[in-house]
Amino acid sequence: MEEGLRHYGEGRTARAAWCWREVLELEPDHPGARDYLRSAGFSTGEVKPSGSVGEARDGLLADALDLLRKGEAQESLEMFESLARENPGRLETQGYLELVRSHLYQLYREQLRDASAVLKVKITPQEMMRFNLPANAGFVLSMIDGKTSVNEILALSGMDPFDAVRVVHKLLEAGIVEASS
Amino acid sequence: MNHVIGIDLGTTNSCVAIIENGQPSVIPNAGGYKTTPSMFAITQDGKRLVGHLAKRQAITNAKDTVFATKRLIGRRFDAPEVQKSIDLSPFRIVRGPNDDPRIEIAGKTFTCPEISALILREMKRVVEEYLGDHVHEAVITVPAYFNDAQRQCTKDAGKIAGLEVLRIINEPTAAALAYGFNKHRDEKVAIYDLGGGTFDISILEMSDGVVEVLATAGNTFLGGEDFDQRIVAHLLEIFQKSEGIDLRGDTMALQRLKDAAEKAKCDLSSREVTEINLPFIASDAKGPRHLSQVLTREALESLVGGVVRGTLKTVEQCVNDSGLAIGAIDQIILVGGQTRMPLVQAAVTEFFGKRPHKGVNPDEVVAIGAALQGESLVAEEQNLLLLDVTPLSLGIATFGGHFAKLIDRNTTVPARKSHLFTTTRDNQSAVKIRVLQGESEIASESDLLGEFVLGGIRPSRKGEPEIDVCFDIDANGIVSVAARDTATGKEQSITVNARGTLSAEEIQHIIEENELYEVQLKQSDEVQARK
Amino acid sequence: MTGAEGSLLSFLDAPVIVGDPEGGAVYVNPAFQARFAVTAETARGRSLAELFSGGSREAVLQAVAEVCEHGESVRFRVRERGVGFAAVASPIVAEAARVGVVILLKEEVEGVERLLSLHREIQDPIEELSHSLQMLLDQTGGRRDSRYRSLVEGSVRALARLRRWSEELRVVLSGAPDPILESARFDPGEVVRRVAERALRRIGKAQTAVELLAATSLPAVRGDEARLESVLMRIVEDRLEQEPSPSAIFIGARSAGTGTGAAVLVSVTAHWRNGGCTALPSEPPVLQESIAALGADLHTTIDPELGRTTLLRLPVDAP
Repeated sequence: MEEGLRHYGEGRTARAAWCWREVLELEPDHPGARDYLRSAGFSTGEVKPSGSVGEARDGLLADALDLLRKGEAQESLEMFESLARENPGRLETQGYLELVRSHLYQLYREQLRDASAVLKVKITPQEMMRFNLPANAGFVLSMIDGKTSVNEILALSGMDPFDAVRVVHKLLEAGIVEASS
Repeated sequence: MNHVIGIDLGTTNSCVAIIENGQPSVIPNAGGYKTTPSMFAITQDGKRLVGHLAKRQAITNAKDTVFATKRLIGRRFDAPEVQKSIDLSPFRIVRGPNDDPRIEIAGKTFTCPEISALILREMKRVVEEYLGDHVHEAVITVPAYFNDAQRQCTKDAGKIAGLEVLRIINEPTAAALAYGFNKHRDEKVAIYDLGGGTFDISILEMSDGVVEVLATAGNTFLGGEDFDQRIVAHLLEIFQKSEGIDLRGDTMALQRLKDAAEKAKCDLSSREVTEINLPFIASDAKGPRHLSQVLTREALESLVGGVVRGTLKTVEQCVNDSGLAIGAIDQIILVGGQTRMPLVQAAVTEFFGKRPHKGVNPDEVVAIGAALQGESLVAEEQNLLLLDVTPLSLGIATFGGHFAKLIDRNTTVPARKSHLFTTTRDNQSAVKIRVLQGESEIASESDLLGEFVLGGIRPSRKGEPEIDVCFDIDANGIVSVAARDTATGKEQSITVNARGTLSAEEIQHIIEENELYEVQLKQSDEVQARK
Repeated sequence: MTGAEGSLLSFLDAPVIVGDPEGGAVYVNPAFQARFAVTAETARGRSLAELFSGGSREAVLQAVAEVCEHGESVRFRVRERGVGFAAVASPIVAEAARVGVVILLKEEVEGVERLLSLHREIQDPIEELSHSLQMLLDQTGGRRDSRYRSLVEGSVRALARLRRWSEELRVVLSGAPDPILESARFDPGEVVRRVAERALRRIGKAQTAVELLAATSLPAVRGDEARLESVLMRIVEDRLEQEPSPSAIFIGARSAGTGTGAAVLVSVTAHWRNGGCTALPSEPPVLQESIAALGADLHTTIDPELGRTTLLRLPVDAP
């Protein structure tokens, strides 16, 4: 709930809605979450007594698509990923996820501009521990030694190129690393 | 100026040296390292990596990263060492058309000399960048127990890399040359060589500028990498106990653990304790997990003590073979980065009863010796003469699948020995002579060097004909075998003469293919630059 | 060997080699010379076994020794340059009643393997033709009303159909009853990597970017590897033939799900600039059948702004 409020306060309404829907997933009768969603202008993805879980999922899928149309590709990606984790066999979700991944891959590569730039860690190890980074980000960070370029990291990581580019983008955006030509 | 470069083509790491103004010097690569990992990889997008870059992604791209081809080069596909490598290697090893092992990565097939050539080419490039000039000639070192085919394949690799290989010399001999440089003493020297992937022990006699190898032994599957693996296993166990997460299937985590283990091992050679910190090594529903572990020298020694003790058994066998008493050995030389470990130095000291000599850099000494040998080959004054031994026994297969040895291992070459054999059946008109190399008493467990048929034997009862089989090994290690029917005088012979596993046409094809690839690579780099 | 015997052997299509009692080659017929790339002069005097390579040498030596010792014919097999031969070694009485050896070889033709090999060779002239036609097309400039241009464009389209049928032939050949191929375990990452390489070669000078989105290690799946590659390539070519052509094609493979539901999702995604992805036809029935034969689930997603993705879900093969 609090995280949703924080996102809402910082203008990320779609993320806020996502958080409140997560609350409803855990506690379908949570009144606060339902109120916040309505106030923010989002559907609550309510499941009618005769309805199916699938219909709720369809609602979330529609929201994810909505985010996409609004240009919030990163947020929509996270929603699609979450939906895909819950139901990996649903190929409709996986298909959209694939489209968004490829779209974002191009976007991230364009934003990287100079892929021959060398990456350097900007913060101390103690400061780094404040961040909530996934293991693949830890791996990419271990490769950054002030001599290795973005291109080399992408080639050496062995990761899916989209995941590698996404991690580099995230580290740059968070100010954990910087690029120098 | 014509430089002959000396290359230590190691199982795990390679090193290159030249003689400049009469002094040997090891040439560092662009990254400033004096050794280069003997690794080759092809990335997802088709980039070819050699050396440090290949090593950095060796675990995350395991199936397309090649290492330790020195264990395969020159051997037959069915050889036990190749079969063991197949079990241990993440990359594919397949049978080639010449019954040689070939390596398949990224949909391409490479011969072992081809892979070695890529490493050699990298070493050549390092020197050429340093000198600002081309180099064409080299001396390359090999383990003392390498047989003819292995030595010839190493020469072929040099040729593919664009080098004329003036000589193939034994690694302990090269180390002794570097040690004996400017030191005119008569001494008996033990070379204890513990590298990244292999272990070798040799006993040499140095006298008036002559180096004679008295005995040699080793283990092709033992080295510093085994020490790293034990540290990694230790860390995996601790992490699983404390965090409940098994990282064995996580290649990214394993890559980080391997790199950290190697670094910690090296740190503990000069310090008593070190810290291993791997933040964000894993993550789950509870968030990121970190690995932070202190490792002491004592803990490391308890992990690897068994490995070190194992090497001393091989040392003991070698000393026995040399015919010397332990006390008769004057100096012990340590070769290979792993010998920096205090436990190894202490174990060697205890065994020989004297401290090993520390005047030479263990990582570089073999390359320096090779460079010295190269210099002496082209110099007007040649004051270094090498005498060597055959590392494995030679003989023929006899009735019942036995191996009859004519020349025992550690016999100084050149050598010549003959023995009388006979037929096993009445009226037998031909005999097949199968020339073998090895130590087992069973023929099928030894390496086949060559074979031929001697026919035209007069009909007689079994046991009557006399077939004189003669082995001749010259100073270059080339083996000739002749069989003569003493009654008729008929004779047949073969020369196991510098035959690697590739034909001259295959070698030329590989050279041309690699040249074409270099042109294509340049073009694609240019395209990238334009983008 | 007499002149009559020599001329008889020279007429045979099968490779023949004659050896003396010492195991040295005396005569090789023209068929042997052609097949094994030796001349009569270079073969004469050499050991019979030396004219073969690898494991075949041992087989020849063994056979010769047995013929010499027992004086009876021996059957054996050799393999040279990827071709198998059934061989017979027989004793031949030479001068002074000494026994030599004659060896006759018969090539074993392996049906489907041979056809697949021919199919691979056909690809080279197809690629050459494609390249030449593209050059001709470039040279006609922008003259749309040119009869010459329309002829060349027609040829390009016909070549595209030839390529498709060639691939279908390969699918059929690969799909010939071969339970080992059909149920083999393979790495889907290798397949998408090959498809990406082929797509890059196929594109040539077109403005379409090709990207591979797959990690280096993926779980293994079970099925027909050649068929999967053929299906993916077919999809790539279909996308490239769209008008307008896509700005980028992504070939991807990633894991999805865990446990018994674990799968690898293999995909071909095409992007068009400026929303060029309008209503597009679904995959042709032949392709759908091929995909079904793979044991894969198929799904296509089309978004007017993002493009089109075709996804195949392949269950992971448990170790």
